[in-house]
Amino acid sequence: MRIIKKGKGVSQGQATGKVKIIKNFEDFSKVQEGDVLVTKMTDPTMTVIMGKANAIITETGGMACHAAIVARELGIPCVVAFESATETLKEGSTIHVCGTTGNVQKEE
Amino acid sequence: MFVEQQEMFKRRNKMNDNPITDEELDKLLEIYCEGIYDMDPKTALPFWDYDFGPLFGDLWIKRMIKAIKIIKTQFSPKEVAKLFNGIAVPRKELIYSLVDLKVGDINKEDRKEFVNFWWDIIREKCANDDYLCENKTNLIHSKEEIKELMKKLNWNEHKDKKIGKEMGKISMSLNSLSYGLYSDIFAHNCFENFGPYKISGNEIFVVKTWTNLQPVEIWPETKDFKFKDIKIYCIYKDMDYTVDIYNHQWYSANTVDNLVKVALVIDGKEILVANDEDNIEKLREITKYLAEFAVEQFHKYKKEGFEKNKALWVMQRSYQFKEFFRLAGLEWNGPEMQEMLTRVKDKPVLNNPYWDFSYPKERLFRFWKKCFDPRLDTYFSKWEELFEKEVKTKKGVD
Repeated sequence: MRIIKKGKGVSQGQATGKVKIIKNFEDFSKVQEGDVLVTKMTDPTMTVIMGKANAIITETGGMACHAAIVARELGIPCVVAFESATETLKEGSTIHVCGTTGNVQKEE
Repeated sequence: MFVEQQEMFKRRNKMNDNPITDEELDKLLEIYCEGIYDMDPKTALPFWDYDFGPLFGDLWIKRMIKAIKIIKTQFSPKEVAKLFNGIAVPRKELIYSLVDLKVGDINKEDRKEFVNFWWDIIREKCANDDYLCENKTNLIHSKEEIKELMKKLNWNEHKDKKIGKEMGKISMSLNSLSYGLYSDIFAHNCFENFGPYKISGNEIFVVKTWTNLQPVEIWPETKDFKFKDIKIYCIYKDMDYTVDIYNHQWYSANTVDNLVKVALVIDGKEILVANDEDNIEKLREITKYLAEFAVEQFHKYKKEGFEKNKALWVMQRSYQFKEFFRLAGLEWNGPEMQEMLTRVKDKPVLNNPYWDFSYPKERLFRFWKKCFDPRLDTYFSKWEELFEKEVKTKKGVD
């Protein structure tokens, strides 16, 4: 496993899943159970798709942002402050997210 | 962790018989700064609180002081505390208004009176919160109340992850709904968690609550929302739980893996969530309803646009004090609120550099503390000069 980048881990745990990049409402339908939701920042319109995700990665936010609070309740890992996540991560690729360390890894 | 019930609910005959000390105030300011620094202004919806509040902070604080002066002569802290479901609303009013006190050029005596009033309410309400979450706990229940809850609830053992996941989704949906109803900044008028109450060597008890789910005066369509009051009682093992001054929760471990027992109570009725598929399916129906309602509500909120979102912010802040203002003979949406709405109409939010976290933390904290400190005459009009002196001219040096 190779570390792609490190963000800030704000919800404990580890998970693996396929990257689904959400840039607008039309992208919501892409998210399936077990995916990794990648977006600039979450908001409550994403409530249903966040419930399907195995992990969440956002470009902005901190310990107290919406994504972090929600992920902690769901018991899924969340990494925030991952700069350019929606550009760096490849749609459909399988990644491993550690919400404790903030590391995001990809299989070599 | 607990204090005796009689200590917790002791009745005072008058307000401010035990005013906040300098030491307590210093701690409060430190904790407040930490709370701000944990946030990211860019992710605040619909805008950063501190760039909007000052637009009408003077009007807000004058109405609040007027209400306090009336209420404190007629009611005890216990009677006032009863108006609030939890403690987050009084607690956050105290800290947010530290800015308004300076925006409104309020004199030192009135600032002191304001702080001591809310300080009294907070101490009346919370068993162990003299320093506003210094210990990062939110304890409102007495030891006896916790024992009673432990005994009377029909606990569901968390044998596999299904229940935990659904409970997580319910929490998430209700938290999201809170944002849609009250925006990011006043979501605490809807959701608040209490705990951790230590119940055995490695187990803690956390009470998650959602109230005020039908604010029909702000969102008429919520009259059709099915529920008024939802509580989830959780017992976790091998996990620490903390809550900060902003009502942000933090768990040191996974909330699904570490869940031991859970009980769900909706409008006073316990919902069976035992590990059989029929019950799980019923639980999923509730989850689906809540998630879809939360999404729809937030779409409505976003669709309103900038001007309406500003007006909503003013209304949401006032609405939290509906019963409080009534106690003072005022209406939450009376002429005072209308004046605030007129004030913010067609005005852009501020764009002050005071919340630029790229400056050294120590300097920002020093600046913020001087701004917020009710003991100092650092009025809002002086903040720019103070910022220049305390933070800006030294950028990058630390």
